[in-house]
Amino acid sequence: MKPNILFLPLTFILILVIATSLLFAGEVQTEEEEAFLTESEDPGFEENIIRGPAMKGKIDLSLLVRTINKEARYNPNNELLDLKESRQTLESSLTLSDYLNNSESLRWLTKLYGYRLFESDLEEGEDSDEFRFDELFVDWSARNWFLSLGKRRLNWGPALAFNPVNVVVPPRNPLSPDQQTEGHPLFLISYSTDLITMELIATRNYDREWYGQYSRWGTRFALVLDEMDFGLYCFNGEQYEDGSEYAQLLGVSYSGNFLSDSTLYLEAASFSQNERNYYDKSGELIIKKETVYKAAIGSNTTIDGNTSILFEYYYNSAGYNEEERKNYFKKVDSILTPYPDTTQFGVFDDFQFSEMNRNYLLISFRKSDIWEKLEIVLQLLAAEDGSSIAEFEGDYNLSDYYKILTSLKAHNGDQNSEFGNSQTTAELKLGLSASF
Amino acid sequence: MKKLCLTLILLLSTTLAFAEMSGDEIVREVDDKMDRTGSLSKLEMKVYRNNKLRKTYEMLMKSEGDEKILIDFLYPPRNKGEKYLKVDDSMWIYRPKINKVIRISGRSSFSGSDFSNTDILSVRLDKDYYSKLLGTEQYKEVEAYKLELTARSEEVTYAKIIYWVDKEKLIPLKRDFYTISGHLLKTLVLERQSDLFDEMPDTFIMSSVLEKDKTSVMKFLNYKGNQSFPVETFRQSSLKKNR
Repeated sequence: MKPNILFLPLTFILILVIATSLLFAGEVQTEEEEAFLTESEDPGFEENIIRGPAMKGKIDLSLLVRTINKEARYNPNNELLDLKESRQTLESSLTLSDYLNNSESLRWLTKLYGYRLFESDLEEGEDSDEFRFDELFVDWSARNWFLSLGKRRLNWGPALAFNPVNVVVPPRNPLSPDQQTEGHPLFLISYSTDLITMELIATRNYDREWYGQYSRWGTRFALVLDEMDFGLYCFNGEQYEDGSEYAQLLGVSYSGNFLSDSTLYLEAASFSQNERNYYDKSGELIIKKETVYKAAIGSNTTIDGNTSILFEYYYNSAGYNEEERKNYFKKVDSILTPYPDTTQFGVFDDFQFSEMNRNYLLISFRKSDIWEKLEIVLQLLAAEDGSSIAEFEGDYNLSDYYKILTSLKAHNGDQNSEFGNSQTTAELKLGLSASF
Repeated sequence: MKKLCLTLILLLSTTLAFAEMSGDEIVREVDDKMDRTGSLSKLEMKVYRNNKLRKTYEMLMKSEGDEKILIDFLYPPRNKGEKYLKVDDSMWIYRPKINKVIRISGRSSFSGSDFSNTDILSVRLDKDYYSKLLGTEQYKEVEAYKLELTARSEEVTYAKIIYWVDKEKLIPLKRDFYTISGHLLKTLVLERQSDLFDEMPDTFIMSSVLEKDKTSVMKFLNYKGNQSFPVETFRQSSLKKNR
């Protein structure tokens, strides 16, 4: 990613802020809290309440074993991406935050992220380490006003899997929202009452390929009523380098109580541009100048206290119909024949292998407290073209600090389907996670 | 003689006043005594399975009446930063891992314990239940009112509650929770283990009846009343901002 011009001055300001807060950490304790602490019966209580820097950390060690899909169009016989059948990774994150004044109106937060890949035969120049600031921002709040400046994660919308309105810092993989940890530089100003929230955002560093220095701006209006809430969203930005327009978003959302055990949510968005490539039978590019509509509707139901079922239906009008999908794959095949050398790899930037269908259905079953320490998730995502992803996840809590993670994922589908062209056909992940 | 008459009249009027209390009035009075409006509390929740302690949680609770409650998890580390918010009939959870605020239903388990979200976040019973006084009976050497509470609507977490209240001091003692089909689901015993609330209970022991040896204990470790919080504390929009 290219360096951002805002980042250096922001980093400098925040280092100053952090240093100042550390200097005065011992003094920032309100009178109310001091009195409360005096009455405390539990010595540990004081540690939790005194406003020193708050800290939260996590270390994940994982082993991934996978079966490479040698039929995948963009990686035939695994000769292009050269994926290894197993890999070990170490991920760590550390979040630090603190208030800067007694009234707790000024605060900073930073989240550091580190990644190391252990692979015996890494290609020369291939990155095996990564370290970055996922977040680094300052907040100011006073009654109904809230300001934030810095690199920050910001999620829009209530949907749990597909998030059409989540465009400010969208997850790279819609099925793994927890993978979205890196924020974007942004300025946020918000006004809230008990009933409404109005938000204005200015951000940069976002484009179709996650590169660039483009200015983006957006606004959100939210209304919280008894047992339901609504949102209106607008997001736009400057045009791309090639002169094409940015796809302006207009969106709505709803979430509410539904019967006694369920919650219901809805997200719908229109995009002023269709950024997907379409091809005719002869392989000629077709640009569709049309508005794209995306919508997700879902419900999460609790069966008993520890069991829940999630349904989510996702519609994407930019997805291919059967013929368009066939023509698209034919075009990919024609580019891959003869097989490209690595200098031609950029050709794939023109293709979007995700959200190729118009209709998707996700069913997720979650049960916790099995044998007291185990939580399992069974999930199936089916696409209109008949392909699917089936996933099993199991988390076993060894203690309050450690847990063992297991996941097994299978991609199913033929060569002319979305998930049938996934990089892998099966993945087994084993991990150990420590939180502190 | 006059003094004796006056004392007798006072005694009689007090007795009549209590005798005339309806089920709804008793529950309302107990709810008032349990009301933690404008308070900051530190709570500990222990989850037992097969009589062995399996999980311990610590959390900070800010309350502004039954309508607005915010719970912030302090321990264990994997739950640290999670927040539960109740505003009127809406409940949300903030999950730091995915940086999302998710609407939740009242019947879901509160962080894998035997308490439901409603048990923790909805303190008053008079709002959700009609109460009928069934009579009095002995409960652990105490003469207690026995009340039957029926849900005012289908959306309420429990269809029926049988509730025992100390007749003399109006202190809550025990609640049995029933399903719509009439099966006993859970039992809550309210105990006083410290002087935090004078005579009122500070410890809540919820046991599952349908599943054996499942118990969760919620205890107030610390409490400070007469607190006022910034207006934005109990807003859904603040959950993500103040992570």
